[in-house]
Amino acid sequence: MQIFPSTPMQTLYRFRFLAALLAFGLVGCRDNCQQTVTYRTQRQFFISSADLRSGIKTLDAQVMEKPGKLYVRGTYLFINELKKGIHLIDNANPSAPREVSFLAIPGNTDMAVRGNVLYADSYIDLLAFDISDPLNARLLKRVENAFPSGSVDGLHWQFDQFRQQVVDTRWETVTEVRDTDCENSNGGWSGGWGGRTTLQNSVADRGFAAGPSSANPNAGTGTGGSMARFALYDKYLYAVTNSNMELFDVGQPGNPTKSATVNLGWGIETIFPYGKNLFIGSTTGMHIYDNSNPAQPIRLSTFQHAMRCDPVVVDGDYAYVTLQAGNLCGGGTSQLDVVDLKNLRAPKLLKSYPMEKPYGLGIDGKTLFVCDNGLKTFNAAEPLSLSQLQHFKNINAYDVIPLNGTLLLIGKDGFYQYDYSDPKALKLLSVIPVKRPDA
Amino acid sequence: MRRAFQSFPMKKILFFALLSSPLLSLAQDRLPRQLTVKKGFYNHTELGTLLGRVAYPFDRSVVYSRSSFTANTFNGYRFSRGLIVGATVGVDWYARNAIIPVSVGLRGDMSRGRVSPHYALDVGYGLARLTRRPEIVGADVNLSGGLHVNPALGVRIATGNDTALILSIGYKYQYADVLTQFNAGNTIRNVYNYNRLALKVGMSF
Repeated sequence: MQIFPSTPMQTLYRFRFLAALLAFGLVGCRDNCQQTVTYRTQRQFFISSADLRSGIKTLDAQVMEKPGKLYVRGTYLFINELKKGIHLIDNANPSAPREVSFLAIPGNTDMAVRGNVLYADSYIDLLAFDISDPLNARLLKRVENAFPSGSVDGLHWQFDQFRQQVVDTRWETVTEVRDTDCENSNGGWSGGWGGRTTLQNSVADRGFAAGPSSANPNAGTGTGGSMARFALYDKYLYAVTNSNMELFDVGQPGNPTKSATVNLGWGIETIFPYGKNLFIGSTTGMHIYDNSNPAQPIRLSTFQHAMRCDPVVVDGDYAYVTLQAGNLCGGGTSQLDVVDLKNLRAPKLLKSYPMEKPYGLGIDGKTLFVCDNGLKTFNAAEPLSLSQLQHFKNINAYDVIPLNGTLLLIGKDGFYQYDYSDPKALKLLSVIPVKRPDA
Repeated sequence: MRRAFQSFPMKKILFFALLSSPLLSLAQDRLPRQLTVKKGFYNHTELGTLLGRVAYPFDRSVVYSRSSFTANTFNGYRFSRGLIVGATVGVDWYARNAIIPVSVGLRGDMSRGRVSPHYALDVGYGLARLTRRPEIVGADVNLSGGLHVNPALGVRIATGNDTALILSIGYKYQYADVLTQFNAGNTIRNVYNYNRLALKVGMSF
């Protein structure tokens, strides 16, 4: 130990470790930053005709993941699982629906049922199944290459004749991680994204409008939604593609054969038979066809509106059309239009009601059901002065079918059934939850 | 010992410059060789610079220097010469993030001398309150801070019975995170791990 006080220099020398620290720190201290970008993008994939045609199976009941369209026939419900197949549900007791089986059909989005025959699409093909035993659906006939292309969930697919394969795309979530210099901004990545991101709210998310419960002219035929692309009338199955209406003769139910093709113009979304007419929804308007001769529908008129999505239901002399603004549907405002159909050659807009973000709709008698930020019910006794009865905000609804006092409702979260025998006070009967794989 | 010292002329110059300031010399002359320590309130306020480097993302061999400003104040209770316990609040201005670190802090001197080794340790959470929120149309930006660690060693040079000048060299770690969520569901997450050499000068009383 030092007896005499050290000089300042000597004192500081004791702290030489600080110099070492400084040198070490200056070399070793590095900032370390990463940017993780997560985005949805479209990826192409291919399905050979052989795989497509060997993929038909009846499976045990499956969990709903991405339900699509809804179809009702008798006490049975058919819920499409987008591009995967059809859930068969025994709904004899709407308070306790029973999931019976799952019919795996690659590329399926639409269906229709008459008697014991289920018609379903499988990308390019039209299939007819005997479903008298729902646990063991039997393929009766395959109409090959009935549809050349299609759009599902906002994604387009087409058939490559040369390679004999379906070229489809799907959304994928891509995560990319990269190092940054710690001074980056978010701006660099946001460019060029606008188009892709808005596409996320696709057709399925936008929803499928619902069907009416009005009397179906065809005995033994089921009921679909107003966003359906399949409709059965007389001895024909009408299937609309993006631009055409394909007619299939189902005079012998188990043996559908391709009949006429009617060109409709671009942007066709839905077909909705009502009375002796066909109402065809497109992105630009509603086409009205006279179907007195079911083999050859004749165009009567087109109710034009702005470029928007337009599920349609018809009741008596009135059509109810929801227009959803934004996303794939184009600009404008969201609204519910009431259209006068007294003269089918000259449909007339009677009144527009403002909506928030409407999806599908359905009508039964004097009660109108609209999927709009949940579910809204209206008293439609006076179409020119609709009055709102109830608004259920806590459900995600995109498709409704009111049928004989039971409202069938499908949304992202599940399949709901309500008793609407008192239209002022809907009663929840049952729920089948949807389980998203990413949830 | 002396020979070894002379073999580092740069450091000799540096330390001599610091120590030969007339003010310090004066103060030192008036003080006893051994300081007595009083229990009680203790404040230590510093400012300084945070030095670091970062590799260019597309060529890791290219390295940039980074420096940013830092300031903090520690308030605590002095139990003994070697143990002062308190809390530290500061501001750290990085290029993309402005952080308010709030920490539990320890301070202490390691000898009785007028010039003593000194230690400091702050561990806490850096709040991202000062970071400017970028305005991006159609997106929510969520700023968050994170772990803050700041150990340091230094020299405490008494300037009075209760006051001192403290020079320190330390290490500072700070985490920050900027999450941008676009309405359509896409996200960009920027994670920042700052590893800096902290050079600070401060006063205590």
